[in-house]
Amino acid sequence: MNYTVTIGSNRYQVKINNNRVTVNGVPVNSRLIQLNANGLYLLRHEDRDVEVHLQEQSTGAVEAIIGAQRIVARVESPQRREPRKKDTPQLGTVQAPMPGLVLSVNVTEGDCVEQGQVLAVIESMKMQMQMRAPVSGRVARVAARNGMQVEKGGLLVQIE
Amino acid sequence: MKVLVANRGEIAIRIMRTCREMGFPTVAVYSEADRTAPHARAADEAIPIGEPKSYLDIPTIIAAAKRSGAQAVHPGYGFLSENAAFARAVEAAGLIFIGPRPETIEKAGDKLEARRIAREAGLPVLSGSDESVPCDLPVGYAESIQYPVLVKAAAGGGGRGIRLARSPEELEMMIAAARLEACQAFDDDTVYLEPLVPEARHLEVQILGDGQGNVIYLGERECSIQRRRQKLIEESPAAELPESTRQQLFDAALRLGCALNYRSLGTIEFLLDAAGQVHFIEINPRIQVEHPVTEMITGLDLVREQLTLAAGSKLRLRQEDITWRGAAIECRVLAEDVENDFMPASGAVTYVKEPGGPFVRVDSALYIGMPIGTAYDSLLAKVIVWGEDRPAAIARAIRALREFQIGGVPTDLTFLIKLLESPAFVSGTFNTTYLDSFRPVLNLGPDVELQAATAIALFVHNQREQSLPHKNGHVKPWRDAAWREQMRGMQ
Repeated sequence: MNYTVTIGSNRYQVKINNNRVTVNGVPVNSRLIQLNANGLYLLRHEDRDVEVHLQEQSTGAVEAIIGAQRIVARVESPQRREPRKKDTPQLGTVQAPMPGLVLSVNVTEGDCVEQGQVLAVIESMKMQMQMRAPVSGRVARVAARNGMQVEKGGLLVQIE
Repeated sequence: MKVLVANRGEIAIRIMRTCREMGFPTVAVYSEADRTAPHARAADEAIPIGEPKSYLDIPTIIAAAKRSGAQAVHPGYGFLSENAAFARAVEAAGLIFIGPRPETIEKAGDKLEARRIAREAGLPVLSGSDESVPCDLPVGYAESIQYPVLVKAAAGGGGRGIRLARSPEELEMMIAAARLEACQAFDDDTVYLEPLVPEARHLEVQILGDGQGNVIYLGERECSIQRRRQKLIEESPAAELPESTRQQLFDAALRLGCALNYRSLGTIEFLLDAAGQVHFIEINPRIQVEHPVTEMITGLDLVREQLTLAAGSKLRLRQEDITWRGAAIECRVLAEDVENDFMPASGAVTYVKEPGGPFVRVDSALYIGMPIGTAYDSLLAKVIVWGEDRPAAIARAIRALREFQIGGVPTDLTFLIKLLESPAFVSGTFNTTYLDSFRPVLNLGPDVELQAATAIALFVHNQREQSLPHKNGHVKPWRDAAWREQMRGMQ
């Protein structure tokens, strides 16, 4: 399951698959333990335990309080968005999840790629994000070029 | 003595606490907007007074006091606390007004009159017009002024009704703006001019008098950390203050207190310019928001002193009885969006965890479900700490603020922590312009945002998993795992 967590102008791509969690493509050892029914949780993050209060806001955003810091995020997931969206992107379409700069493109048209292979790296708000192949297949089109600015949702690579 | 507290929020609760300790029954008043507010329940009885602005309605408050059988009225700060007509109405109703005599409030309330009295008492008063600005500016008036200059409302206070003019061209516009605000806020559009003191520090002296010739001072407070002329952090003693200047402030405050034959608690405010010169600015004839820092270093309960004096007693303390120990800092926790130019927030408080531990005091009226609106000011809580010295107090304030958790509305908590950590604050080398340019990164740790993002994604994921129908009635694997994880901690 993929989630896009937007905090201010920063975006985090969180992928949760059973107990495996990756953030922006980097595996993290994280799990959430409920401490009470009033929103108190323990985030077991790498080798640390962090107390966090989590609550959905009336706006639909989710608030996390860690120490004195209050962080409010919007959360989107393709699964949640899909029914509303008319032009559902094809399975092999790799789009920029946020506006940013293309740091590198690792494939050319005609290449055969495996699912999970890094196709390109983009950077936004000093955060690098590896764009991986959602499916195995052949690269039909490479729209991204090194040093190029991309908009949110801009096409990077098309796999068929 | 049964006391009606004509106020709301943290100060109402703070006053009622001392009343209770002294065995005085208390009466609260509450508006429609405050039906669920805790100050109403902190009192022995509570009287509804109607619409939100009823805290300013003199006949309504007097009627509530009469109805409840209260013998005394404490006005707190703000609202009617500096209203001489209110003090007179309280006394005319045969009740005790817990504060200065009405004449003193009147003199303090007219800034031009206060300047005149201060000058006569030998205090250093900023030069500038001792007359109000005429309604129609004479030809050449604007050109005869030294710029930059402050246009101040004579009836103003609390940093309101003040405008800055940088040139003769700006003067007329700023006078009009100050008049408009003064007229709306204080029902008096008299304004006067005062030269702007650049890079000044804002210092004040707490005084206590019995109206029978005895006045003492309880030390100074540093209030230079301000944004939009509103104080954010106050401390006592003031850092990096030469002892001769401190004594000069005390002497000046005492002279003015004696000249007024001051009764009750009061504050004399001063500016300290970059050259080290002291200038009187105004008298605050009431308890102040920042009074706890003085309480922390003197060990005195200032509300107790007010209540004792209100009953007509002489001052029970002599100047030599007053000693100061260590350092105290107060931080104002506000429902304001720091990243949006301190815009007051609205919404509701959905989570509260207040700090604790040694020498940490929290004065608040916070509760889960507390509506945050525009009816009243944005103060959520005051965190006051004491330390053996200033560095210890700063470390404790940071520690305490890091424990404070408030959900539902944006607050200035992270801003306050960054402020306390900033080199200029730590070294005590700041003035009232410090916050004009202080723009910290509001992040308490490099990993906090990443942790929050991870926790939020897991939270949304878990909620979704839970809402799905369970296959064959089995417990979901992640819940099972979490359960095992929790049990492991128990053993």
